[in-house]
Amino acid sequence: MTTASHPTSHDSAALSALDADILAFIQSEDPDPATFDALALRLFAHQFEANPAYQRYCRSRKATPDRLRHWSEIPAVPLTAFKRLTLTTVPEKDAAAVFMTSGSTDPASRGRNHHRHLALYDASLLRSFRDRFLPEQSSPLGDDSTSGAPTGYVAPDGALPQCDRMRILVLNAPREQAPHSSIAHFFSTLVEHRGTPDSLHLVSDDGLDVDTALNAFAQAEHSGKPLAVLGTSFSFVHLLDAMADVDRTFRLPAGSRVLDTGGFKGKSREVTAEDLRQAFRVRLGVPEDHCANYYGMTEISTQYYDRTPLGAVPDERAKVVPHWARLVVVDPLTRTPVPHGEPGLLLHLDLANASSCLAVLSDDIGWAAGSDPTARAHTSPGLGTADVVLRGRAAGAEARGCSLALDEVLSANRTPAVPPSRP
Amino acid sequence: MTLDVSFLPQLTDAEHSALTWTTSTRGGVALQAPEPTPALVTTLTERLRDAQQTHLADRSVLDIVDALGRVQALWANPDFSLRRTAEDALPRLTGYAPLHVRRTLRDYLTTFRRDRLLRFLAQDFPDPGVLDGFRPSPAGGRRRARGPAVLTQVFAGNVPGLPAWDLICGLLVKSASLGKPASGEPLFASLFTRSLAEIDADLASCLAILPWPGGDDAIETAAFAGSDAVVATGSRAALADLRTRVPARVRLIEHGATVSVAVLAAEALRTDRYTETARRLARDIAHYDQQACLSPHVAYIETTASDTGVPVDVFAAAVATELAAIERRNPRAPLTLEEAAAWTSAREDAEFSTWDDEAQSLFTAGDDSPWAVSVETVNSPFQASPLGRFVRLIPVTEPSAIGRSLAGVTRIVQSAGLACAPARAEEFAEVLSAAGVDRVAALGRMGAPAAGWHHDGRPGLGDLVTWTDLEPSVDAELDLYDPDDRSGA
Repeated sequence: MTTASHPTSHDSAALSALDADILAFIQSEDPDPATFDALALRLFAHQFEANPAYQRYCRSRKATPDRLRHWSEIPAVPLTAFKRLTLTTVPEKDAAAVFMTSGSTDPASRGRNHHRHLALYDASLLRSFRDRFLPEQSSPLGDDSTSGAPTGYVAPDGALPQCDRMRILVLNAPREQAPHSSIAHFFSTLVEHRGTPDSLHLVSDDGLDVDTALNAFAQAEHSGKPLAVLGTSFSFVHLLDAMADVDRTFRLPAGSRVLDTGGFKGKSREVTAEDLRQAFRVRLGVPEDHCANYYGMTEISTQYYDRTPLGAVPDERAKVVPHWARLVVVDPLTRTPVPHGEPGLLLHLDLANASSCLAVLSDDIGWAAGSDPTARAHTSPGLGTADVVLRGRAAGAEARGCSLALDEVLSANRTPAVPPSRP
Repeated sequence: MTLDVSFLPQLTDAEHSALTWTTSTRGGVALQAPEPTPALVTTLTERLRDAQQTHLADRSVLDIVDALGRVQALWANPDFSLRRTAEDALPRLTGYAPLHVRRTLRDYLTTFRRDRLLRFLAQDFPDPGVLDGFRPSPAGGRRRARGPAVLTQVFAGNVPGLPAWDLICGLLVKSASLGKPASGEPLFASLFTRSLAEIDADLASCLAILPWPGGDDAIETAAFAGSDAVVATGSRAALADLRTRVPARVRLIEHGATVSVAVLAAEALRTDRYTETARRLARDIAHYDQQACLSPHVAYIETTASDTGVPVDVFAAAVATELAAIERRNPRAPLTLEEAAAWTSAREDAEFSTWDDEAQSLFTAGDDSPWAVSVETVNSPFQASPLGRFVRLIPVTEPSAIGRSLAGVTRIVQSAGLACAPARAEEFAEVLSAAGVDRVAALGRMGAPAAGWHHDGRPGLGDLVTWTDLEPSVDAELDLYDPDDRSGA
């Protein structure tokens, strides 16, 4: 097995017809929802045939390609399946990358997502980054008033004009140091495709290099050239703490922006997304409409960015679902959609997740926000396309009273494990 | 109709009407309670202390038992208005099936019949008179037991009605109680205190019920400052938090979450017995959907080479059939989103385990099954059930394997339901006792502990009191100071 060390060039001629069609759909500037519907069923049929563990899961639920009429009927595998089963259409030795969830050192308790190639993964991440974060350097993030392709956009594999790159600081280790981390691949790919040559990774085996970060901020202030600062939410807390310790604040140039991901579950302290954005404004001088958070996980191949600003509720942001994915809010027991706006588990359908399972049931709780797209149609073509507000994880549910929640017994039984970080 | 979940006879009418009331709706039941404030809590603890002095401290314990017995007689009447209120509101508040609530409540209410209270007292105090004054001690001299004057009680919400026992325990050791009902079942504490007020207003004036948000630091600081002891039932996380906030001079008596198990000997799976065994196991599993700490998470099944019983899978199918039948009569209470997610995750984990292991199997009614029977192997560490009618059946070849399986949960394992030949009961009980089990009941009776049960292995009343010993030397040596004594002269 090789790791994702050469992700920058994908020979689209080597892709299967299905993968090529999915790639074209992800990159499409005028996607047709009906194309999603068709591709989802084609991809399901492929995964059913090529992924024996998934086929078994589907057969036990009487879901076979000849029976399914709509993507909403595709069985979603739970996260635990990525730990317990070898859930892949590609032999491990032929995989371009195997991303693993972090946490325990015991491989059996780490989720693994195989990728035959990273063409779809990279297309997905670059497209969302362009649409939601770096459309053009002067406009707010993901401003929907600038619909359509931003000026100067060139397909990810093409040569990007220098103006579509900016200096990127990553508060995370580079891909080479974390070959099984999807998040490291994510950041490294962005540096390669959207970063200027002076972009930097600021985390190494020695930890976070605060001094270099502060120097880069000072340089940016001096030069007036905007910066993009990317990292996990928790790495930003470390950085902001260090800045507070030495009482340093910056006014990064206009157009600078911040992208964080993940949350604080199980960490030594928790900071709300609102507090974090306020700290970005106070410490870095980056306005809130240039700060975004994205939601993703190792088991899928798509990221969901904040819609910024959300509008009616300025403090609460919803995640945008890109056109090659669907996020359906479901009842955990029945797996059927809950009424629009009610809380449930987030069920993902992700065409970019081609080498394992496109349908994945997360343990994240959320609800659909904004207007109900299904209300506009008699059928449900809009199902799963509404924005979604993310609100924590269902893991560690507390039982109602004196009896014991599963997690409590587990934690009583074992030494505390490092909680998995997301994605 | 709006139900008042508070009970505050300590306040004057003027004070009562000056309170700010808030109403809420849960399961279609309208509830009201006063806005809790630290000042209100302080007033209540002060007046409870006065009431305890006036109405409880000098009252004989048998007199208290008599009064409580008369309260029980009220509840024994199916037409008693508060019982009707409970039977109507509790299923809606908790989501448990009405039939199940009605039956378990009926059985539960008999546990504080006068004769049972006397037995309960005798379990910890062979001579209950020690609660009234000094009584001869077996070791010589005399002794007396006293409960705390004022208790703060944090009630559990998992099983309807449970707070009544906590309040009774307090009264039997002559403690006044400030009770905080749980949000999951906020009603029964106030119903019980109202029934006591009908029988004995003086005793009832020693009880106050006031809901407040659990963990509210200002309110709980006031409550603890005004109390001599705190009795709390809750999750281990909630108790750990409480431990940091109860002042050192105040005793904290904790009832943390526990797990229970069932043990089925080979003879319980005999072809002519196994269906009844399955029925009894299913009954214990369905008891408040395992939310009470009394229901089994795991059932150990003894398999022997020569046994004449049915295979474990056949037994598992029989348990599944029983659970399906119970579901039709008494549907499982709705799970919260978090509980449902944990339940589904545990069920799918069990499903995946069966894929590469012939010895494991899973019985459910499909993806939205309201119950699950998972046959697993004894080799993995103890795994709790996610509750909500999910049981793990684990075959074992010898009783000692049960002890090894429970090794990881010795400190939190509580009840065991036993199905075996009478002659073997003690053999199993020895193994279970060594593993930390503090109560062994017959399978099918796990949900109804006997009077005098050592809750969590501790003396329920005995843990509340402190003793004063009047040593033999007092009788022997103090004659010297007897003005009537002429021996020294």
